[in-house]
Amino acid sequence: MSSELTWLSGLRRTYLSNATATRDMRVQLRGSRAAVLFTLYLVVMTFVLLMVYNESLGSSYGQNSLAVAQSRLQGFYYATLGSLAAVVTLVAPSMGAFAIVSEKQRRSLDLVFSAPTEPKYYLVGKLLSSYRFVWLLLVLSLPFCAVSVTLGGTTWSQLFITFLLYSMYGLVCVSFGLLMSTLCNKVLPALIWTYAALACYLALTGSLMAVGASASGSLTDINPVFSLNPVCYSFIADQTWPVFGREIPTWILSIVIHLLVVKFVVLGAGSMIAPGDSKEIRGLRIHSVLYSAALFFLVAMCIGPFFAGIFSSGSASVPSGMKVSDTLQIFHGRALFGLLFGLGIIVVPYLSSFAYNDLRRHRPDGTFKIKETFSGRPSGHLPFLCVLFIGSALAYCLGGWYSIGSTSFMAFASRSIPGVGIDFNPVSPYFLMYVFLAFTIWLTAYLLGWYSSSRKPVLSRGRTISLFFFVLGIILPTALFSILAESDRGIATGVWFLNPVAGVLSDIPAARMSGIHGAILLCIAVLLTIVTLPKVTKQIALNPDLRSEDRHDINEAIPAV
Amino acid sequence: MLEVKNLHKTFGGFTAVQGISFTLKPGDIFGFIGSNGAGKTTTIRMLATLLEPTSGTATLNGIDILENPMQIRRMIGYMPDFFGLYDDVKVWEYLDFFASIYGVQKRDKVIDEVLELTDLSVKKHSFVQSLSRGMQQRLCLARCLVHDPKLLLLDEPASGLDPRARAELKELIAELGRMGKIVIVSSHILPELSDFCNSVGIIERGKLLAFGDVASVVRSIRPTKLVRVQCISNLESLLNTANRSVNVQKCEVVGTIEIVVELMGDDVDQATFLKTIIDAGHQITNFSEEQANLEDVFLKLTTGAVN
Repeated sequence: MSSELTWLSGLRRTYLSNATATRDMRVQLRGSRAAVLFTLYLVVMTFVLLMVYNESLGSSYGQNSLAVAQSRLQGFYYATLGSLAAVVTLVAPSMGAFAIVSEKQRRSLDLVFSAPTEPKYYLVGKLLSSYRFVWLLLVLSLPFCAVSVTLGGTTWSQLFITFLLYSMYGLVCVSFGLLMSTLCNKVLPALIWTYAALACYLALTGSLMAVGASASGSLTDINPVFSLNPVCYSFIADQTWPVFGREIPTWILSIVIHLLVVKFVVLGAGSMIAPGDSKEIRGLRIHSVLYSAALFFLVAMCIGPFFAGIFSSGSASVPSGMKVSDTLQIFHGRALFGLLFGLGIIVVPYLSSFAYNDLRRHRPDGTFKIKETFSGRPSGHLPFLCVLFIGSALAYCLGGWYSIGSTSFMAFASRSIPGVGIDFNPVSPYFLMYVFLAFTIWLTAYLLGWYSSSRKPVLSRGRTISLFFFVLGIILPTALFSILAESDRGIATGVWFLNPVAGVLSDIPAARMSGIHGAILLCIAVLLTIVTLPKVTKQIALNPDLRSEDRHDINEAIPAV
Repeated sequence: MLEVKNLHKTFGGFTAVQGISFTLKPGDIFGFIGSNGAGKTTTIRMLATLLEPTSGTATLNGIDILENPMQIRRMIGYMPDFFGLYDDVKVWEYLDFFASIYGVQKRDKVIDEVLELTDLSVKKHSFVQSLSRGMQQRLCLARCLVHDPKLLLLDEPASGLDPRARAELKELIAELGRMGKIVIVSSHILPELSDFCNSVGIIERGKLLAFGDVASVVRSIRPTKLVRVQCISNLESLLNTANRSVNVQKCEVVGTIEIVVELMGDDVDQATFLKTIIDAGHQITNFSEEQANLEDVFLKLTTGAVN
């Protein structure tokens, strides 16, 4: 009972009476500054929306039918939401980006962390204080949207739900700002990286939204996982999604997923500012495996029927000499390859190095220790990457399995999609070749960074080399040879095999070439391992982790007196 | 009780602290002396749990800084060599924030008490940026005291303060020592340290060159007493008498009326020597021991090299 009470009081202390949030609120709302800022915001919003209103309705007032007027009012409503999205996209990330960088520049972070402050407590405080400001902006703009309701452009419930989703989007933006704020030491880089990260987030969620919409055939019937992009908020307000046989409003699921994303990002920020091996890092790693697997599962679940559908409807052609089922395996292989590649480019550079800096957790302690999988120590990086990638790939296969409605996993490989007549076969060599290529690419990138660290243990160096391999070795050649293949078949015929993923040609030789590329990369990886291992061992021997041996070596002779 | 055990800190190939060990008991005010870059701040930051030692550890009242950093943080007050004050925050709000972080009960009462102790009660509702440098320094000290710590880590607390503010701060630190707290003060202003510190440590290039109470550290660099004797009688005769005395190691004439004697032994031996030369009929006008101070010790022990 007492431990539950402690947990509850900890929750209350962190979320309801957070000292950081209280102090920031006092500063934010002090004096006339906040009032002036909010008034200015209202004036600008009024001006902009008045213009939009005049544009959509003002000139033709009383001349349109009710249906046309309502349709135009809806346009006004969407324009209002667009303005809100722009405000949130501009203001929220900057609030987050300033939050910790300003503390670093003031050098007050040391004071906070010399007190018994957990990173979580501090970050939640910063998140709440930054978010509160964004939330106030949203609340202040409610009257503008209420105009649409009273005039018939939307309903109160739609408006309420859309606002909730926008406030979740604001929370996501603030959390991105916080993450970048923990990584940077100056305001400008923090701002730039925050907006860059947000752009990536919007591009990714936009793509997922498109995938979801393609799978369901409509933007108003979209998988909640793919509803993270603000563009679809107003479309999902009235939708439901089946969960274990029960219809749940899509917006509730969407809010839960938004909150999970926020938690994931804040955990990342926590692992950045946590002084040593910490539970934040452990939490982050476990969550990243779970979320990544969930994402892969859902993507496979959506695109499985979609891929099958495009063949049955004749939207995609099958290269001559190939069977539909083989082409489908190549499609799935390429989809999983893309997902694993995206995952790799996010996590591998970050984990592919070690160093001797302020933080003990970056010091080399071995090359592969299972027990360190989630601890954040360098010896746990490779086991963690294996768990992450294998878990995600398996989740993709399970998603494909679920999508075709198989009843047992053994039936999975052979059972046809009802009415379509083609399989998703995860043990098909064409599928496996792409998976193999994805694994060898990230393994090579990881080992390149590790090799660099063994020569000069600096975190940024290893990370840069690893990232450069992804960009210069894979992304750019892929783009180049894809363009060549599209624009000039003659050239493509001669050099297509130089395309690292042999991607444009969905035929069997291309898939086989992916396997060959994977084998070449595997050889490079083995070579890198042979070269790197002795160097890492030497690094560890030169800089032994003495702490454990010296823990009980009490007072060696006190010098002098 | 603070026990520092063989602390090491390396940053890559660069060693900032090399095997520092010392022990302090409640009420000790420890002066941590060293040139810029000697390793004082690194040591203090390790004790404040802001940096992890490469090896070695420290315990405060039996609690290890590596095993239980959160518990340690509840028992220490860390004042860095910069203020780190927030803008647009009032004095009481600043203290309330830290008191809240430390989970202090009855915060209003505690804030009033620490403001009174640091003589800032009249500034309770002022903005921190409006305070003078000395007051800001005292506010930082007040912040360190809101949770009644057992150990205070004060990194260069007197830097940039005017003489009055320094005197006030010195008195405050002495008072904290009398309250039974362990205080570690790093400073360059050596004469002041010897006034209120009851132990000192001299650090250079990450190594603790000397540690102990001020008198014994001073004695450690000069085991003999240096006594200046002036007389109006024959200086040669005085020199002969001194040279014949039992505990005199070395003796030489300085100027026309003074000799300098290097004397072995303690105060009793010093008194015996004085009696001997008076009994020998020399008319002594001045007999004084030349006091070595921390500055002498520091200059003698250190080479000025930095990490």
